[in-house]
Amino acid sequence: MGTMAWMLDFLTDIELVDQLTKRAVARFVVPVQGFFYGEGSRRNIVVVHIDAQSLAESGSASVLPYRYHARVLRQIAARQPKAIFVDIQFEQTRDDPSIDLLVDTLCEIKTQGIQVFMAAGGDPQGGRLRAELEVARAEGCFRKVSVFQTPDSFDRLAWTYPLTERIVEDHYDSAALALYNSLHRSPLTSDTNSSMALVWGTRSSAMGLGWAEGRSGRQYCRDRQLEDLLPFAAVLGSVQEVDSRPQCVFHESLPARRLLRATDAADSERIGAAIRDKAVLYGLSSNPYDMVASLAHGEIPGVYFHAMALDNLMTYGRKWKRASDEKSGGALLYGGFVIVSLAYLLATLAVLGHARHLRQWSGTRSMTAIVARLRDRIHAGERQSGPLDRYPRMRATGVAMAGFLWRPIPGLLMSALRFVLLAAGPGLVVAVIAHQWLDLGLLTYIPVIVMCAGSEALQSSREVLAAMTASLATPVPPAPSPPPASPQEMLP
Amino acid sequence: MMKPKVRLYLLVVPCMLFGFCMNAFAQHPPIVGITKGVKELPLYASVDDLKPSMKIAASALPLPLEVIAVQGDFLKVRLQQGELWLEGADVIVERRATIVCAPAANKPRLTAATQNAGNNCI
Repeated sequence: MGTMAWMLDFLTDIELVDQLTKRAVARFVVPVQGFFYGEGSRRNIVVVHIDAQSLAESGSASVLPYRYHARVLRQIAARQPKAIFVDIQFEQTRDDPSIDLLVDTLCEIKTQGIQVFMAAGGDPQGGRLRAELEVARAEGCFRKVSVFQTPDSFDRLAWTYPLTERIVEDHYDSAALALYNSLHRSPLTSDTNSSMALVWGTRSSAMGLGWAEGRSGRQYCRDRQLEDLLPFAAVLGSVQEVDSRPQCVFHESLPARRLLRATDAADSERIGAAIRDKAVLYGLSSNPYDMVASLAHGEIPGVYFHAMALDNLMTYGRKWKRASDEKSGGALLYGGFVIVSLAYLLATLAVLGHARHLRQWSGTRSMTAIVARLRDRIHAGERQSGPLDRYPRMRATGVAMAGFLWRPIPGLLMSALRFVLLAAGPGLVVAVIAHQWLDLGLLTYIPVIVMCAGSEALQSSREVLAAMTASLATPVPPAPSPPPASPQEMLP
Repeated sequence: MMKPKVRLYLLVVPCMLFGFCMNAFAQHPPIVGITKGVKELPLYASVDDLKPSMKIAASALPLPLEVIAVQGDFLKVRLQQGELWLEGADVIVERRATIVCAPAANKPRLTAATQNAGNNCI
């Protein structure tokens, strides 16, 4: 009773069912979206991250001195990037005299013509940083940006990225928006109060995080696979071994330690090329509290969240994907309805003749009748001559089974065509219109696709069943009767 | 009975070879260039110093330059101004056929516990 009550409660919570269905379906589309996203703008972005080894080599495994950050930032700036974002909130005061060195470094970088953005403090600090850094900010050495992220309330995944945030009294641009605006002549200023729907790129970078997986020591992530593009890939997992590791990160990454050590000419050139003329995002990859659940990459350091958002802005520009836009969403719903209706009309006309044909075939529906029909065919086949005459029953069974399997194929093909025309077709049209022209996020337009596919899947499944059963309804040719006996033979 | 001269050779030659080999291993690769983009090099009297004792223009650093000690990412060099430390990342060292294989770090995992103080003070 309890289970029944729970199920009833779940099914009647329309909002919950709607949101969960939307996300479940959307997750199948994410790899496809990532596939078409391609390279995005990742050649303009690099992540410099402090990994566990960088921490160990710094000699201070728990708290990094400000001097460490100053040294890394100085080395980044020496390679002449376009802009630097520091994804570390320097808000708490602690006893470390090297704070002055960090302040001096930040101001020096600014004088080199490189824009610097620092993560603003959190709500408890009212967005403020340490007093020394606030003084430097007031002098124009850097700008503060918001670094908030709100995981989805249903599945905790990072579907959206806030472009602006309010901290106490002040409005802040997010890291990605501030970086984008500093790098482009026509900044994005309007409509930035709403959140951006993130499109996660799925091509693995050549230089990723380099994490190992537990005791096995193998890489924690994998490259994208063809199976990722198939819906219901999880079903494959039950019949063959599927690599369940998340995909590797999208953006090129450099561990901070590589920027601090003495290198030879070739390595120095590689590091220089990885940073020069790019937007550099500097943060930690060793802090388990600074993680974001990506749709394609599993849990990854928060700095990659900002990198992906910046990549989206650079790729789409003013056509960045809106997470929720009621006006466009409503238009899409009506537009989708018109598209689906038109597709139904055209496809129904196209398959009308075939449907009539199917109806003529269908007539035998019960399992008993199917078995009886198969038996009749085998008996009829046994009486016929042909190859494998020494094994008439085996041959007849083979012919009957082949007939059983072959006959529904045209019907199945027509059903598949109809499904493509009526479900996948309109779904694709809706997705393209919503993505390309209306600039909507996946979760906004996925309900229309669900509507198309769901209704058509039901209809198609009925047709598949009809085609299978109809294959046996074709009249069996009568067995050749033995030639009449001659009058001489009849005589005693 | 070996002659005393031969005995001396037997003692000295291996010692010389050993010393030569040890010296070769102990020597750090010399500095042969300046990292592209670095215009000024801060020089420290001690590795732990927060402020550099002096700065010299990148073009003023005599090359090649012997490295007399290494500590972390810092290299100790002998200049006219005395023995000073410079940032390893500011310079390019001669390539040596060395392979350093460090084990990859594991992916950080969330724990249902409070980690050491200062974890959030990074």
